[in-house]
Amino acid sequence: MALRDPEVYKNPDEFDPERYYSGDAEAKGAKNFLVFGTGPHVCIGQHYAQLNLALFLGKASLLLDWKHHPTPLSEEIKVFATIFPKVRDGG
Amino acid sequence: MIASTRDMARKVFNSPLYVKPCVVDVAHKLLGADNWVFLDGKAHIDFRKGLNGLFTRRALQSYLPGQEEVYNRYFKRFLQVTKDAGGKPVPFMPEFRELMCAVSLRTFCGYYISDEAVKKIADDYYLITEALELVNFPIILPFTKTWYGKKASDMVLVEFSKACAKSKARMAAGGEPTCIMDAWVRNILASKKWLEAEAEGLSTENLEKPSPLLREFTDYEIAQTVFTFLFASQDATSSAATWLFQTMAQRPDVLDRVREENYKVRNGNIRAAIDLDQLESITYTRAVVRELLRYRPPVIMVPYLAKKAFPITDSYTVPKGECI
Repeated sequence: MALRDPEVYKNPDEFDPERYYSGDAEAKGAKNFLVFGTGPHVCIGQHYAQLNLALFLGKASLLLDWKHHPTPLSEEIKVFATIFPKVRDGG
Repeated sequence: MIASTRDMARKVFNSPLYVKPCVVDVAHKLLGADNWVFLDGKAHIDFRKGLNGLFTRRALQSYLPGQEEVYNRYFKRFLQVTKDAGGKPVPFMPEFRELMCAVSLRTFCGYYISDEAVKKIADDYYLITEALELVNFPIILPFTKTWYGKKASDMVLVEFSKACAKSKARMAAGGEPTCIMDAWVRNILASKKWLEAEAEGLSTENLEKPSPLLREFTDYEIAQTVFTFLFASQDATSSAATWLFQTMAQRPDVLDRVREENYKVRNGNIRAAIDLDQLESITYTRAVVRELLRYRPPVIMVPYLAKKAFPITDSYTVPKGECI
């Protein structure tokens, strides 16, 4: 619920990088962004992890192009320790 | 009990006197009962302080060339996969799990781990996830999920211990750190030097003082700790990478902006490696990552255990032993 609070994130179910690029989501959602937890067990690698994903996406954008071929289930979410797009029923 | 509001979740995270992270029983068997992740209170805080040196800017910079190398190799392979499939679509999630495992292992163990071992760990890692996900039978029986999980995690620990021994040898010979193990070993060696100089009353003027000063750690202790990093990163990062690709494919306008920003920061050379300052400067790409993590958060719940009766609100006290 913290990451979908409409008071903090307008149209919370929409993917919109602008809220972090030109918007105020970082400051406004400072207490909401619990993706890496908080307190004594907060993720020790969170800075590395996010920069690594930026490197991954940045390099991929230059070296690859890709298309997504949706399946009837690929916008649905499968939980296997974390969340993944569904590939097929039950999997 | 489920704490689903922002403030309730924060209260749980910030009440270490009342709660501690709760893991399935088999986690003790897979990670080792003496693993640092099971420490609580001051012992946990002290151990964790010793790990901060692995994530400084200087440390993060030293891991970047290894990350670049793995991405270059795998992206080349992805092109081949598509070529071999005659341009037809191929399921991509398993490829991403292997890629993210390979990147993590390069960051953790540098070049002390063979490509074959990387492949084996990537292949077997899902056995560990599978073993930990379910409420499992308390005894590890042969051919059950926990048995396969234990075998896989033992294999990882052996590989990591061997890698650590190699890191110790190379760092002792004055090598430059390229991975987490190196950064750790380097701080151990620097601490030792500092303490020895102090004990002998020598000048410490030209020595670097690690903060905090570290004790000796065995290969196994380091392997066990690095294993928890793999554990924390593998599923979560694979999830984020998979959703990133899917989300970008559906929003070509966003991907175009990412591409433009990354082209610019490399001065038009798409194969150029970038340093930490440059990586930090690609603010649009980082905003995409940030928003992706909000939109599809890889970790959707964190189980905690009430160590004692925990008054979570004015009107409700979580009983001791309850899972939150």
